[in-house]
Amino acid sequence: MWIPANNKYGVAIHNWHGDVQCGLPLDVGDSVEILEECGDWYRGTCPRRPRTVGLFPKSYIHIKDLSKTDPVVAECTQVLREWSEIWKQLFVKRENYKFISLRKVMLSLLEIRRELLGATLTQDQTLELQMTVISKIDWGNR
Amino acid sequence: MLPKKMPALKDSHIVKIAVQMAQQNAQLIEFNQRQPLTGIIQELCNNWNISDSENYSLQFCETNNHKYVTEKNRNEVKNGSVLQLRHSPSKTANDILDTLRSGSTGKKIECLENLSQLSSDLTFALEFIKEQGLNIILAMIEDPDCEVNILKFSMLSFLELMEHGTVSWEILQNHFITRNVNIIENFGRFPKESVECALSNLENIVQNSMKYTQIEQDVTFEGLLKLLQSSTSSVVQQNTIALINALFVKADDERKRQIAQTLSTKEFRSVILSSVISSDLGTEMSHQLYVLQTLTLGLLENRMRMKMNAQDQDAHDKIKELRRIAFDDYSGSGGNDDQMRRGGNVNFSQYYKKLGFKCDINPAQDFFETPPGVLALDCMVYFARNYTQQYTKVVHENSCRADEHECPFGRTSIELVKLLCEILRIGEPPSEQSTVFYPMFFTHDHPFEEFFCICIVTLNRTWKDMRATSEDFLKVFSVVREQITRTLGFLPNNLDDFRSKIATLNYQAITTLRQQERTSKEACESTASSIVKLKEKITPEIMSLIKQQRLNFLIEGTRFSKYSRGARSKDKFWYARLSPNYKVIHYGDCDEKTVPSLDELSNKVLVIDIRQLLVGKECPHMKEMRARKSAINLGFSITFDNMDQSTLDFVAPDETTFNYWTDGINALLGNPMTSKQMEDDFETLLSMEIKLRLLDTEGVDISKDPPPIPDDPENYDFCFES
Repeated sequence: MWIPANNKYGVAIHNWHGDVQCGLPLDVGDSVEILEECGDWYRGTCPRRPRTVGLFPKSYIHIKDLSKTDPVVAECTQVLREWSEIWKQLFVKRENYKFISLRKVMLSLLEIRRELLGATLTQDQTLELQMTVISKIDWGNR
Repeated sequence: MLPKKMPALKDSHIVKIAVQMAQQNAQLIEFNQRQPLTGIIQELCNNWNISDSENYSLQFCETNNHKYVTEKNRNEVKNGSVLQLRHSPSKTANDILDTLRSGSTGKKIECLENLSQLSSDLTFALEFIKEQGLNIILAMIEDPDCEVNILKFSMLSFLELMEHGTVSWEILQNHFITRNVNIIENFGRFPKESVECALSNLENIVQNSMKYTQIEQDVTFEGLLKLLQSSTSSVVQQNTIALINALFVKADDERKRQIAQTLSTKEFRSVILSSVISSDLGTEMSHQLYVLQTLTLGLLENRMRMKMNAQDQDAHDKIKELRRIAFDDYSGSGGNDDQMRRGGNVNFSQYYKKLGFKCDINPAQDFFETPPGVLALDCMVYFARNYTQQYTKVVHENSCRADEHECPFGRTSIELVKLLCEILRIGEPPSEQSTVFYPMFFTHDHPFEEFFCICIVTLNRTWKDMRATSEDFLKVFSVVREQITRTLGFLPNNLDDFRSKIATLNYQAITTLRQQERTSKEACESTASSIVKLKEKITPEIMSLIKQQRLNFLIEGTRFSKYSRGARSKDKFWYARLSPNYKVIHYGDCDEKTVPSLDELSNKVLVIDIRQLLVGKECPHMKEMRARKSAINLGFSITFDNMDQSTLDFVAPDETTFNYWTDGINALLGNPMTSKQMEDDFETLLSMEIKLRLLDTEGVDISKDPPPIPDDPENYDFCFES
């Protein structure tokens, strides 16, 4: 019996070949939205492949509670993904200076994001980092 | 020559073995596992002309501890085994007993030495005990005039016989205990083996018999201390500590306290430190010291589990004392309590608030929670009394801060004591296996309190380093816990050593360590099969980006210097660029400024006509370049299919241009791009791509191996349409 899942999200912890009936192939690290579940299987979508729905085993998915995600971290994630496309174009166009600067900022955002997620920071440190993130994002958007 | 006929497969229950016997030629026999041992022994005896086969048994060789072969263990007899035919356990036991009853001293010693070895064999031990052997041995041990070697071997035999656990330790009478106590008290007069055995005997009786009370009375700690101090045998020391531990475990609370007091005396501790801990420690000794440490620290359990009683005057006094020591100068002259009381309770609660108690009106409530109960109060007062300066500094520093960053002394101390109890597992019985003990706890009369004093100072420092607020309580404690456990892991020799080691392991150091661990975890993950596969999958995409970039570069084109006879010609340039459809390379002369359009370039070559790319010394025009070696690495040529020998020769102005052009031409020819630049670009792009792909796996363990794939779902009747 397939049961609807309510706002369930997860991340793939291994590459899933998707080689089954109605399967949806996944790469490790892919985030997924789960629509419904049945036994050891989920059925859902992956934002990297819009408009395709398919099956993947529960054993390949680590469920995430998005409500606990820090909004600054979420913003970081989104910004990093958007910038990555711009960054690759800078490479192709050989805009070297911008390419190198953007890379530096992206790497520092990655590091800060990781520290924020590590949950070992004190309130003060967290606030400070969040401010850094915001200023860096501002810089990047300009 | 005819091959030898393979022997028919023997039944697996028949093994080929050799049997030896003193003064006889060995026999090679087929040992039938289905034939009773008595039958086999009978046959062996017949061959050696022995008539009383019922008095004989088979015995394994050295590798199997000279065990007797019995119906139970006979399956250990394998092909190629060498067995001994010897007198049977019962015959041997009776022979030994005869000698012990009536033999000469020399004979007795000889036969006891033999007995001490035989006794480890269960079959023999049972036989010997059945023949009332234990009583004879006991009588010899208890005989005060017993010859030393007889005593030594009887004691060794006795312990071995008891090891099998078939006889209860309860059978031993008081005079046996007295005799053993006598041996350890006059240890100088006996061989060390006897002393070792005596200690083990007493430990066993304490653990397994109701008679332990007599031992408790008879054994003095002074005697044991002397033994620890003077004995050179590590087994004696180990057995002594085991006996102390056994007495400790059995003691009632009152006696425990007495023992602990003796143990914590400087004299005792220094003996443990200098005579025991300094030598090389075996596993058993480490375990015994661990037990001793656990038992000593375990004495704190009582206080730890004791909730502060509202009527406990002593505890109330301690709380007052904390206040007085901290605020003496602030709250009137010399800490006169009556004088202060006139100031009213309002004042007090203000001080208690500054001390960082949760409940500033009645701080006693802070000590209601157990653990750590009143133990926390004990530690705090100890700190205030013995490290007054540090104590007042900590309290004032925090109570005078105007911001939210103060580290509440009361609250954090109580939590810290709880943490320390947890780390040291106070209140848990010693484990059977552990060998983890900390020498530094044997170096002070109040090791736990001292430990606390160091840690509370560390905690304050870390709190400051982290710029923590009260909301960060748990985070600070997770760092402090790491500081403490990591420092304990270095097994500091003494408290000062601990103090200096934990000082270097500050917040910064912990952060660095955590980062290193994260990085190495990441490095480990990056080799995980799933990530390697992901990289392979992304590779073509990255390659096409690089290719795109290189071709764009070629389309924009480059101004090259002209060379003639190996030297650059001044102010003579030519330009080459690729057509946007990647099919033609246009080239021609140009000036040093303008970029010529495709039409302005008079010459062209079709990409399809290119045969190959030559670089560096392979190029014809580089052969003349003797003078300028640096230029050699910048030269490249293309050769053609249709024009014999002719080449188009380039000398790039710099390395980047060289890399871009050679990569670009290789890409046009469908060859792999080979420049160093290409590898760097690839690495830069790929590592960023992987990082971004794995953003959502932060804090999630990536599976090293593919998880199992379940059976297909029962149906495909989905709730939602695709």
